Amino acid sequence: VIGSLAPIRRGQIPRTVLAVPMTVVFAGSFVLSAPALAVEAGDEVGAVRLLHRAMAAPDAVSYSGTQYVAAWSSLDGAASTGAIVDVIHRAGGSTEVRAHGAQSLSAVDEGSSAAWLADGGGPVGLLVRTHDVSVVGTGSVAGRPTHVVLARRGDGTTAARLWLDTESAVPLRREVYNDDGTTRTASAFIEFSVEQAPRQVRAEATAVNLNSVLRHSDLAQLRGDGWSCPDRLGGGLVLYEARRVGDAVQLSYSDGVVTVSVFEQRGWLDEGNLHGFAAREVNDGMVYSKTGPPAQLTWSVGDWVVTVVADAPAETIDAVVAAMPPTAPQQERGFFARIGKGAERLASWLNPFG
Amino acid sequence: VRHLGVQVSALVDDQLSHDERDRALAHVTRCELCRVAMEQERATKAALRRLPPVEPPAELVKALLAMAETGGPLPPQRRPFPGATAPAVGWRPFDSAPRTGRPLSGQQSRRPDVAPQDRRARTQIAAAGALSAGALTLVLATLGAPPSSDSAPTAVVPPMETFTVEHAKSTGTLPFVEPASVLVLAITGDRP
Repeated sequence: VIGSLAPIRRGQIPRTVLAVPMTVVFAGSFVLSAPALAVEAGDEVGAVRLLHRAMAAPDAVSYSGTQYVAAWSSLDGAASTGAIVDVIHRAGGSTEVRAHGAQSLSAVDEGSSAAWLADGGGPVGLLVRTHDVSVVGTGSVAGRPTHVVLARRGDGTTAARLWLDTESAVPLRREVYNDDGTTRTASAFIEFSVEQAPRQVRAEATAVNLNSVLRHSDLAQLRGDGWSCPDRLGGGLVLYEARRVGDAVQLSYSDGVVTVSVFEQRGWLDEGNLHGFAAREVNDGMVYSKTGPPAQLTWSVGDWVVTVVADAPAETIDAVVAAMPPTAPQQERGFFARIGKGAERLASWLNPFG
Repeated sequence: VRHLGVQVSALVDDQLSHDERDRALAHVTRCELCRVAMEQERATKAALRRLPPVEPPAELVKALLAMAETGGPLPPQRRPFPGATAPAVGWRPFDSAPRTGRPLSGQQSRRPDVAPQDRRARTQIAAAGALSAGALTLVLATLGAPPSSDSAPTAVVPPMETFTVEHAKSTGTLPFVEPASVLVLAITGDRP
Protein backbone atom coordinates (compact mmCIF):
# COMPACT_ATOMS: atom_id res chain seq x y z
CA VAL A 1 0.00 0.00 0.00
CA ILE A 2 1.68 3.17 -1.18
CA GLY A 3 -0.93 5.37 0.44
CA SER A 4 -0.70 9.12 -0.03
CA LEU A 5 2.98 9.06 -0.83
CA ALA A 6 4.21 9.23 -4.38
CA PRO A 7 5.64 5.94 -5.57
CA ILE A 8 9.33 5.82 -6.30
CA ARG A 9 10.04 5.12 -9.94
CA ARG A 10 13.59 4.21 -10.83
CA GLY A 11 13.76 6.62 -13.71
CA GLN A 12 12.96 9.54 -11.47
CA ILE A 13 15.29 8.83 -8.62
CA PRO A 14 17.89 11.56 -8.50
CA ARG A 15 21.47 10.60 -8.07
CA THR A 16 21.36 11.47 -4.39
CA VAL A 17 19.50 8.28 -3.79
CA LEU A 18 21.27 6.22 -6.42
CA ALA A 19 24.57 6.90 -4.71
CA VAL A 20 23.61 5.02 -1.61
CA PRO A 21 23.48 1.25 -1.82
CA MET A 22 20.47 -0.09 -3.66
CA THR A 23 19.42 -1.94 -0.51
CA VAL A 24 18.76 1.44 0.97
CA VAL A 25 16.46 2.34 -1.90
CA PHE A 26 14.60 -0.90 -1.43
CA ALA A 27 14.48 -0.38 2.31
CA GLY A 28 13.28 3.16 1.63
CA SER A 29 10.50 2.08 -0.69
CA PHE A 30 9.51 -0.62 1.73
CA VAL A 31 9.30 1.59 4.77
CA LEU A 32 7.58 4.35 2.83
CA SER A 33 4.88 1.89 1.94
CA ALA A 34 4.53 1.01 5.60
CA PRO A 35 4.43 4.32 7.44
CA ALA A 36 3.86 2.79 10.85
CA LEU A 37 7.33 1.30 11.17
CA ALA A 38 7.31 -0.75 14.34
CA VAL A 39 10.29 0.16 16.45
CA GLU A 40 10.76 -0.13 20.16
CA ALA A 41 12.85 1.81 22.61
CA GLY A 42 16.44 0.61 22.62
CA ASP A 43 16.12 -0.78 19.09
CA GLU A 44 19.39 -0.18 17.22
CA VAL A 45 18.52 -1.86 13.94
CA GLY A 46 15.20 -0.02 13.97
CA ALA A 47 17.09 3.25 14.45
CA VAL A 48 19.23 2.60 11.37
CA ARG A 49 16.11 1.75 9.35
CA LEU A 50 14.45 4.97 10.51
CA LEU A 51 17.54 6.97 9.54
CA HIS A 52 17.65 5.44 6.06
CA ARG A 53 13.99 6.28 5.70
CA ALA A 54 14.70 9.87 6.81
CA MET A 55 17.51 10.08 4.25
CA ALA A 56 15.17 9.02 1.47
CA ALA A 57 12.30 11.22 2.67
CA PRO A 58 13.15 14.40 0.70
CA ASP A 59 12.76 12.34 -2.45
CA ALA A 60 9.35 10.97 -1.55
CA VAL A 61 7.58 13.57 0.56
CA SER A 62 6.35 17.10 -0.15
CA TYR A 63 5.93 19.28 2.88
CA SER A 64 5.74 22.82 4.11
CA GLY A 65 6.08 24.42 7.48
CA THR A 66 7.64 26.98 9.75
CA GLN A 67 10.92 26.07 11.36
CA TYR A 68 13.30 27.72 13.77
CA VAL A 69 17.01 27.13 13.75
CA ALA A 70 19.29 28.28 16.55
CA ALA A 71 23.02 27.82 16.94
CA TRP A 72 25.46 28.61 19.71
CA SER A 73 29.17 29.07 19.15
CA SER A 74 31.34 26.21 20.37
CA LEU A 75 34.19 28.69 20.86
CA ASP A 76 32.10 31.11 22.93
CA GLY A 77 28.80 29.76 24.24
CA ALA A 78 27.43 33.26 24.74
CA ALA A 79 27.46 33.91 20.98
CA SER A 80 24.38 32.69 19.19
CA THR A 81 22.43 33.11 16.03
CA GLY A 82 18.99 32.04 14.99
CA ALA A 83 16.35 32.28 12.33
CA ILE A 84 12.69 31.49 11.92
CA VAL A 85 11.99 30.37 8.38
CA ASP A 86 9.16 29.19 6.19
CA VAL A 87 10.15 26.01 4.38
CA ILE A 88 8.55 24.56 1.24
CA HIS A 89 9.82 21.25 -0.09
CA ARG A 90 8.69 19.36 -3.18
CA ALA A 91 9.23 15.61 -3.34
CA GLY A 92 12.26 14.87 -5.49
CA GLY A 93 12.81 18.59 -6.00
CA SER A 94 14.25 21.57 -4.26
CA THR A 95 13.70 23.07 -0.85
CA GLU A 96 12.86 26.74 -0.66
CA VAL A 97 13.49 28.71 2.46
CA ARG A 98 12.21 32.17 3.27
CA ALA A 99 12.95 34.17 6.39
CA HIS A 100 9.62 34.22 8.21
CA GLY A 101 7.54 37.07 6.85
CA ALA A 102 10.11 38.04 4.19
CA GLN A 103 9.40 38.13 0.49
CA SER A 104 12.64 36.82 -0.94
CA LEU A 105 13.04 33.08 -1.32
CA SER A 106 16.29 31.22 -1.39
CA ALA A 107 16.74 27.72 -2.60
CA VAL A 108 18.68 25.37 -0.37
CA ASP A 109 21.41 23.56 -2.23
CA GLU A 110 20.66 19.90 -1.62
CA GLY A 111 24.11 18.90 -2.74
CA SER A 112 24.79 16.33 -5.39
CA SER A 113 25.70 12.72 -4.87
CA ALA A 114 27.91 13.04 -7.95
CA ALA A 115 30.32 14.71 -5.57
CA TRP A 116 30.14 12.12 -2.77
CA LEU A 117 33.64 10.94 -1.80
CA ALA A 118 33.18 8.97 1.42
CA ASP A 119 32.71 5.18 1.41
CA GLY A 120 29.28 3.57 1.05
CA GLY A 121 26.22 4.15 3.13
CA GLY A 122 25.88 7.86 2.46
CA PRO A 123 25.16 10.18 5.38
CA VAL A 124 23.74 7.30 7.45
CA GLY A 125 27.00 5.42 6.91
CA LEU A 126 28.93 8.45 8.18
CA LEU A 127 26.73 8.67 11.24
CA VAL A 128 26.81 5.00 12.27
CA ARG A 129 30.55 4.68 11.65
CA THR A 130 31.34 6.86 14.67
CA HIS A 131 28.10 6.79 16.67
CA ASP A 132 25.85 4.27 18.37
CA VAL A 133 22.30 4.99 17.30
CA SER A 134 19.19 3.78 19.04
CA VAL A 135 15.51 4.53 19.28
CA VAL A 136 14.85 6.01 22.72
CA GLY A 137 11.11 6.42 22.52
CA THR A 138 8.43 8.55 20.98
CA GLY A 139 7.70 12.25 21.13
CA SER A 140 5.60 14.97 19.63
CA VAL A 141 6.68 17.95 17.54
CA ALA A 142 4.29 20.54 16.12
CA GLY A 143 1.45 18.27 17.21
CA ARG A 144 2.74 15.29 15.21
CA PRO A 145 3.89 11.94 16.65
CA THR A 146 7.61 11.22 16.20
CA HIS A 147 10.21 8.55 16.86
CA VAL A 148 13.15 9.83 18.88
CA VAL A 149 16.56 8.58 17.74
CA LEU A 150 19.66 9.14 19.84
CA ALA A 151 23.22 9.20 18.47
CA ARG A 152 25.92 8.55 21.09
CA ARG A 153 29.64 9.03 20.67
CA GLY A 154 32.05 6.21 21.43
CA ASP A 155 32.50 7.50 25.00
CA GLY A 156 28.75 7.27 25.62
CA THR A 157 28.02 11.01 25.56
CA THR A 158 25.09 12.21 23.46
CA ALA A 159 26.02 13.79 20.11
CA ALA A 160 22.55 14.37 18.68
CA ARG A 161 18.89 13.68 19.17
CA LEU A 162 16.51 13.45 16.20
CA TRP A 163 12.72 13.53 16.23
CA LEU A 164 11.61 11.79 13.03
CA ASP A 165 8.03 12.24 11.89
CA THR A 166 6.26 8.88 12.26
CA GLU A 167 4.34 9.37 9.02
CA SER A 168 6.92 10.91 6.66
CA ALA A 169 10.29 10.28 8.42
CA VAL A 170 11.21 13.95 7.93
CA PRO A 171 13.35 15.14 10.86
CA LEU A 172 11.01 17.52 12.68
CA ARG A 173 13.38 18.41 15.49
CA ARG A 174 17.14 18.13 15.68
CA GLU A 175 19.35 18.87 18.63
CA VAL A 176 23.13 18.62 18.46
CA TYR A 177 25.31 18.77 21.55
CA ASN A 178 28.90 19.63 22.39
CA ASP A 179 31.14 17.16 24.20
CA ASP A 180 30.25 18.83 27.53
CA GLY A 181 26.53 18.38 26.90
CA THR A 182 25.69 21.99 26.02
CA THR A 183 23.47 22.52 22.98
CA ARG A 184 25.30 23.57 19.83
CA THR A 185 22.40 23.69 17.40
CA ALA A 186 18.68 23.17 17.75
CA SER A 187 15.96 23.28 15.16
CA ALA A 188 12.33 22.36 15.13
CA PHE A 189 9.22 22.78 13.10
CA ILE A 190 6.60 24.88 14.85
CA GLU A 191 4.15 24.10 12.05
CA PHE A 192 4.47 21.18 9.66
CA SER A 193 2.21 19.58 7.09
CA VAL A 194 2.72 16.89 4.49
CA GLU A 195 1.34 18.04 1.16
CA GLN A 196 -0.20 16.36 -1.85
CA ALA A 197 2.00 17.97 -4.45
CA PRO A 198 3.13 16.48 -7.73
CA ARG A 199 6.60 15.02 -7.56
CA GLN A 200 9.24 17.28 -9.02
CA VAL A 201 12.20 16.18 -11.04
CA ARG A 202 15.11 18.16 -9.76
CA ALA A 203 17.18 19.86 -12.39
CA GLU A 204 20.56 18.19 -12.64
CA ALA A 205 23.39 20.07 -11.05
CA THR A 206 24.35 22.99 -13.24
CA ALA A 207 27.42 22.83 -15.42
CA VAL A 208 29.23 25.26 -13.13
CA ASN A 209 28.51 23.08 -10.10
CA LEU A 210 29.71 19.91 -11.77
CA ASN A 211 32.82 21.64 -13.07
CA SER A 212 33.75 22.71 -9.58
CA VAL A 213 33.39 19.19 -8.15
CA LEU A 214 36.66 17.41 -7.35
CA ARG A 215 36.80 13.64 -7.57
CA HIS A 216 39.33 11.19 -6.12
CA SER A 217 41.57 11.45 -9.21
CA ASP A 218 41.56 15.28 -9.03
CA LEU A 219 42.51 15.14 -5.35
CA ALA A 220 45.38 12.73 -6.08
CA GLN A 221 46.72 15.20 -8.62
CA LEU A 222 46.34 18.14 -6.22
CA ARG A 223 48.23 16.23 -3.51
CA GLY A 224 51.03 15.69 -6.03
CA ASP A 225 51.16 19.46 -6.52
CA GLY A 226 51.60 20.05 -2.79
CA TRP A 227 48.00 20.56 -1.65
CA SER A 228 47.31 18.61 1.50
CA CYS A 229 43.66 17.46 1.01
CA PRO A 230 43.62 14.90 3.86
CA ASP A 231 41.14 12.02 3.54
CA ARG A 232 40.25 12.32 7.20
CA LEU A 233 40.80 14.69 10.07
CA GLY A 234 40.91 13.87 13.78
CA GLY A 235 37.75 12.99 15.68
CA GLY A 236 36.27 10.60 13.11
CA LEU A 237 35.81 13.29 10.44
CA VAL A 238 35.75 11.85 6.92
CA LEU A 239 36.10 13.75 3.63
CA TYR A 240 32.76 13.47 1.83
CA GLU A 241 32.91 16.24 -0.75
CA ALA A 242 35.49 18.50 -2.42
CA ARG A 243 35.07 21.48 -4.68
CA ARG A 244 36.94 24.35 -6.21
CA VAL A 245 35.87 27.75 -4.90
CA GLY A 246 37.75 30.46 -6.80
CA ASP A 247 41.46 29.92 -6.15
CA ALA A 248 40.67 27.75 -3.13
CA VAL A 249 39.96 24.06 -2.70
CA GLN A 250 37.07 23.33 -0.36
CA LEU A 251 37.19 20.03 1.52
CA SER A 252 34.04 19.04 3.42
CA TYR A 253 34.31 16.68 6.37
CA SER A 254 31.67 15.15 8.60
CA ASP A 255 30.94 12.35 11.04
CA GLY A 256 27.22 12.60 10.27
CA VAL A 257 26.62 15.20 12.98
CA VAL A 258 29.59 17.56 12.93
CA THR A 259 30.48 19.49 9.76
CA VAL A 260 33.84 21.05 9.00
CA SER A 261 34.86 22.77 5.77
CA VAL A 262 38.57 23.22 5.16
CA PHE A 263 39.63 25.72 2.50
CA GLU A 264 43.18 25.57 1.18
CA GLN A 265 44.71 28.48 -0.70
CA ARG A 266 48.23 28.98 -1.98
CA GLY A 267 49.99 32.00 -0.47
CA TRP A 268 50.70 33.57 2.89
CA LEU A 269 48.14 34.90 5.29
CA ASP A 270 47.88 38.68 5.12
CA GLU A 271 47.36 39.09 8.87
CA GLY A 272 47.31 42.88 8.67
CA ASN A 273 44.11 42.75 6.66
CA LEU A 274 42.18 40.35 8.88
CA HIS A 275 39.53 42.19 10.82
CA GLY A 276 37.55 41.10 13.84
CA PHE A 277 39.65 38.00 14.51
CA ALA A 278 41.10 36.88 17.83
CA ALA A 279 44.70 35.63 17.61
CA ARG A 280 46.07 32.64 19.48
CA GLU A 281 49.53 31.12 19.32
CA VAL A 282 49.49 27.46 18.35
CA ASN A 283 52.59 25.48 17.52
CA ASP A 284 54.98 27.96 15.83
CA GLY A 285 52.24 29.99 14.24
CA MET A 286 49.19 32.08 14.94
CA VAL A 287 45.60 30.93 14.54
CA TYR A 288 43.05 33.66 13.89
CA SER A 289 39.48 32.90 14.85
CA LYS A 290 35.97 34.28 14.91
CA THR A 291 33.52 32.66 17.30
CA GLY A 292 30.61 32.52 14.87
CA PRO A 293 28.52 30.38 14.83
CA PRO A 294 29.74 28.82 12.60
CA ALA A 295 33.29 29.07 13.99
CA GLN A 296 35.77 30.51 11.49
CA LEU A 297 39.55 30.02 11.77
CA THR A 298 42.48 30.74 9.51
CA TRP A 299 46.22 30.12 9.72
CA SER A 300 49.38 29.59 7.69
CA VAL A 301 50.87 26.18 6.93
CA GLY A 302 54.07 26.70 4.96
CA ASP A 303 53.20 28.24 1.60
CA TRP A 304 49.50 27.63 2.21
CA VAL A 305 46.66 29.35 3.98
CA VAL A 306 44.18 27.05 5.68
CA THR A 307 40.73 28.37 6.56
CA VAL A 308 38.18 26.38 8.51
CA VAL A 309 34.45 26.99 8.84
CA ALA A 310 33.03 24.56 11.35
CA ASP A 311 29.90 23.54 13.11
CA ALA A 312 31.77 21.38 15.60
CA PRO A 313 32.65 21.12 19.28
CA ALA A 314 35.74 23.05 20.41
CA GLU A 315 37.61 19.74 20.91
CA THR A 316 37.01 18.77 17.27
CA ILE A 317 38.18 22.19 16.08
CA ASP A 318 41.39 21.77 18.12
CA ALA A 319 41.90 18.35 16.50
CA VAL A 320 41.53 19.92 13.05
CA VAL A 321 44.14 22.58 13.87
CA ALA A 322 46.45 19.84 15.20
CA ALA A 323 45.98 17.84 11.99
CA MET A 324 47.27 20.79 9.93
CA PRO A 325 49.74 22.40 12.35
CA PRO A 326 50.29 26.14 11.93
CA THR A 327 53.78 27.36 11.00
CA ALA A 328 55.45 30.74 11.44
CA PRO A 329 53.99 33.24 9.00
CA GLN A 330 55.59 32.90 5.59
CA GLN A 331 55.82 36.66 5.46
CA GLU A 332 58.40 36.82 8.28
CA ARG A 333 60.53 34.03 6.96
CA GLY A 334 60.22 35.70 3.59
CA PHE A 335 61.63 38.95 4.98
CA PHE A 336 64.85 37.36 6.21
CA ALA A 337 65.11 35.41 2.98
CA ARG A 338 64.81 38.74 1.16
CA ILE A 339 67.64 40.28 3.18
CA GLY A 340 69.80 37.31 2.33
CA LYS A 341 69.00 37.66 -1.36
CA GLY A 342 69.65 41.40 -1.21
CA ALA A 343 73.08 40.79 0.34
CA GLU A 344 73.88 38.33 -2.45
CA ARG A 345 72.94 40.87 -5.09
CA LEU A 346 74.96 43.61 -3.41
CA ALA A 347 77.95 41.26 -3.18
CA SER A 348 77.67 40.41 -6.86
CA TRP A 349 77.78 44.14 -7.74
CA LEU A 350 80.84 44.69 -5.60
CA ASN A 351 82.63 41.65 -6.95
CA PRO A 352 84.79 42.87 -9.85
CA PHE A 353 84.96 39.37 -11.26
CA GLY A 354 81.23 38.74 -10.99
CA VAL B 1 -1.43 37.54 24.42
CA ARG B 2 1.14 36.63 27.08
CA HIS B 3 4.53 38.06 26.12
CA LEU B 4 7.83 36.33 26.83
CA GLY B 5 9.20 38.89 29.30
CA VAL B 6 12.23 37.53 31.14
CA GLN B 7 12.06 34.33 29.08
CA VAL B 8 13.67 36.23 26.18
CA SER B 9 17.02 36.13 27.97
CA ALA B 10 16.66 32.43 28.76
CA LEU B 11 15.74 31.76 25.12
CA VAL B 12 18.88 33.47 23.79
CA ASP B 13 21.07 31.67 26.37
CA ASP B 14 19.47 28.28 25.67
CA GLN B 15 18.24 27.92 29.22
CA LEU B 16 14.80 26.63 28.20
CA SER B 17 13.71 23.03 27.83
CA HIS B 18 12.83 22.22 24.25
CA ASP B 19 9.11 22.33 24.93
CA GLU B 20 9.47 25.78 26.46
CA ARG B 21 11.74 26.78 23.58
CA ASP B 22 9.18 25.62 21.00
CA ARG B 23 6.42 27.54 22.78
CA ALA B 24 8.59 30.66 23.09
CA LEU B 25 9.66 30.52 19.43
CA ALA B 26 6.17 29.83 18.25
CA HIS B 27 5.18 32.98 20.09
CA VAL B 28 8.11 34.89 18.59
CA THR B 29 7.03 33.97 15.07
CA ARG B 30 3.75 35.74 15.70
CA CYS B 31 4.74 38.55 18.07
CA GLU B 32 6.73 41.42 16.59
CA LEU B 33 7.33 42.88 20.07
CA CYS B 34 9.02 39.77 21.44
CA ARG B 35 10.93 39.20 18.19
CA VAL B 36 12.45 42.66 18.52
CA ALA B 37 13.21 41.97 22.20
CA MET B 38 14.98 38.72 21.24
CA GLU B 39 17.08 40.46 18.57
CA GLN B 40 17.98 43.22 21.03
CA GLU B 41 19.01 40.67 23.64
CA ARG B 42 21.25 38.95 21.09
CA ALA B 43 22.73 42.26 19.95
CA THR B 44 23.38 43.35 23.55
CA LYS B 45 25.13 40.09 24.37
CA ALA B 46 27.20 40.37 21.21
CA ALA B 47 28.16 43.97 22.08
CA LEU B 48 29.15 42.95 25.61
CA ARG B 49 31.35 40.21 24.28
CA ARG B 50 33.11 42.68 22.01
CA LEU B 51 34.19 44.86 24.96
CA PRO B 52 37.89 44.60 25.78
CA PRO B 53 38.75 42.64 28.91
CA VAL B 54 38.72 44.85 32.02
CA GLU B 55 42.04 45.27 33.86
CA PRO B 56 41.33 45.55 37.59
CA PRO B 57 43.05 48.49 39.34
CA ALA B 58 46.29 47.51 41.09
CA GLU B 59 44.91 48.72 44.44
CA LEU B 60 41.94 46.38 44.17
CA VAL B 61 44.16 43.42 43.30
CA LYS B 62 46.40 44.23 46.29
CA ALA B 63 43.41 44.54 48.61
CA LEU B 64 41.97 41.24 47.36
CA LEU B 65 45.30 39.47 47.78
CA ALA B 66 45.58 40.85 51.32
CA MET B 67 42.10 39.53 52.06
CA ALA B 68 43.13 36.14 50.75
CA GLU B 69 46.01 35.88 53.22
CA THR B 70 44.94 33.81 56.16
CA GLY B 71 47.14 35.21 58.92
CA GLY B 72 48.45 38.67 59.73
CA PRO B 73 51.12 40.47 57.69
CA LEU B 74 54.03 38.34 56.56
CA PRO B 75 57.02 38.30 58.95
CA PRO B 76 60.02 40.29 57.71
CA GLN B 77 62.39 38.28 55.60
CA ARG B 78 65.07 36.69 57.80
CA ARG B 79 68.65 37.34 56.93
CA PRO B 80 71.30 34.72 57.63
CA PHE B 81 73.37 37.18 59.66
CA PRO B 82 71.15 39.74 61.29
CA GLY B 83 72.60 43.21 61.08
CA ALA B 84 74.96 42.55 58.19
CA THR B 85 73.55 44.22 55.09
CA ALA B 86 76.59 43.64 52.90
CA PRO B 87 79.79 41.65 53.04
CA ALA B 88 82.46 43.49 54.97
CA VAL B 89 85.12 42.74 52.42
CA GLY B 90 84.69 42.53 48.69
CA TRP B 91 86.54 39.82 46.82
CA ARG B 92 87.87 40.82 43.45
CA PRO B 93 89.93 37.88 42.30
CA PHE B 94 91.82 38.00 38.97
CA ASP B 95 91.51 41.77 39.03
CA SER B 96 94.60 43.72 38.01
CA ALA B 97 93.40 46.80 39.84
CA PRO B 98 95.16 47.50 43.10
CA ARG B 99 93.32 46.09 46.06
CA THR B 100 92.44 48.70 48.52
CA GLY B 101 90.68 46.49 51.00
CA ARG B 102 87.99 49.11 51.02
CA PRO B 103 84.57 47.91 52.08
CA LEU B 104 82.25 47.77 49.07
CA SER B 105 79.15 48.75 50.99
CA GLY B 106 77.31 51.43 49.06
CA GLN B 107 79.77 51.43 46.18
CA GLN B 108 79.19 48.10 44.53
CA SER B 109 77.60 49.34 41.34
CA ARG B 110 79.27 52.64 41.06
CA ARG B 111 79.93 53.46 37.42
CA PRO B 112 83.05 55.23 36.34
CA ASP B 113 82.53 58.95 35.90
CA VAL B 114 81.74 59.93 32.35
CA ALA B 115 81.65 63.50 31.19
CA PRO B 116 78.18 64.54 29.90
CA GLN B 117 79.50 65.46 26.43
CA ASP B 118 81.08 61.99 26.12
CA ARG B 119 77.73 60.41 26.93
CA ARG B 120 75.99 62.54 24.29
CA ALA B 121 78.58 61.52 21.70
CA ARG B 122 78.05 57.87 22.53
CA THR B 123 74.30 58.23 22.19
CA GLN B 124 74.79 59.89 18.81
CA ILE B 125 77.07 57.12 17.63
CA ALA B 126 74.63 54.48 18.80
CA ALA B 127 71.75 56.25 17.06
CA ALA B 128 73.73 56.62 13.85
CA GLY B 129 74.66 52.94 14.06
CA ALA B 130 71.05 51.86 14.51
CA LEU B 131 69.95 54.11 11.68
CA SER B 132 72.53 52.82 9.24
CA ALA B 133 71.80 49.22 10.23
CA GLY B 134 68.10 49.91 9.58
CA ALA B 135 68.90 51.56 6.27
CA LEU B 136 71.12 48.65 5.25
CA THR B 137 68.36 46.16 6.13
CA LEU B 138 65.92 48.17 4.07
CA VAL B 139 68.29 48.38 1.12
CA LEU B 140 69.01 44.65 1.27
CA ALA B 141 65.33 43.78 1.61
CA THR B 142 64.53 46.01 -1.35
CA LEU B 143 67.30 44.50 -3.41
CA GLY B 144 66.19 41.02 -2.43
CA ALA B 145 62.53 41.64 -3.23
CA PRO B 146 61.20 39.14 -5.74
CA PRO B 147 60.63 40.58 -9.21
CA SER B 148 57.00 41.54 -9.73
CA SER B 149 56.55 38.96 -12.48
CA ASP B 150 57.66 36.22 -10.08
CA SER B 151 55.09 33.54 -9.29
CA ALA B 152 55.98 33.69 -5.59
CA PRO B 153 53.18 33.04 -3.08
CA THR B 154 50.83 35.95 -2.77
CA ALA B 155 49.16 37.62 0.18
CA VAL B 156 45.87 35.95 1.00
CA VAL B 157 42.90 37.32 2.89
CA PRO B 158 40.36 34.46 3.00
CA PRO B 159 36.92 35.56 1.74
CA MET B 160 35.13 34.53 4.93
CA GLU B 161 31.60 35.33 3.83
CA THR B 162 31.94 33.31 0.62
CA PHE B 163 33.54 30.45 2.52
CA THR B 164 30.75 30.45 5.11
CA VAL B 165 28.09 30.30 2.39
CA GLU B 166 30.00 27.51 0.60
CA HIS B 167 30.29 25.63 3.90
CA ALA B 168 26.53 25.88 4.33
CA LYS B 169 25.96 24.61 0.78
CA SER B 170 28.21 21.63 1.37
CA THR B 171 26.04 20.48 4.28
CA GLY B 172 22.98 20.20 2.01
CA THR B 173 23.78 16.54 1.36
CA LEU B 174 23.61 15.65 5.05
CA PRO B 175 20.09 15.13 6.43
CA PHE B 176 21.07 14.87 10.10
CA VAL B 177 22.98 18.11 10.53
CA GLU B 178 21.34 21.48 10.90
CA PRO B 179 20.18 23.10 7.69
CA ALA B 180 23.16 25.45 7.76
CA SER B 181 21.83 27.22 4.69
CA VAL B 182 19.03 28.44 6.91
CA LEU B 183 21.55 29.80 9.37
CA VAL B 184 23.50 31.51 6.64
CA LEU B 185 20.27 33.23 5.75
CA ALA B 186 20.35 34.63 9.27
CA ILE B 187 24.07 35.41 9.16
CA THR B 188 23.98 37.25 5.86
CA GLY B 189 21.23 39.41 7.26
CA ASP B 190 18.43 38.42 4.92
CA ARG B 191 15.77 39.09 7.49
CA PRO B 192 12.27 40.44 7.24
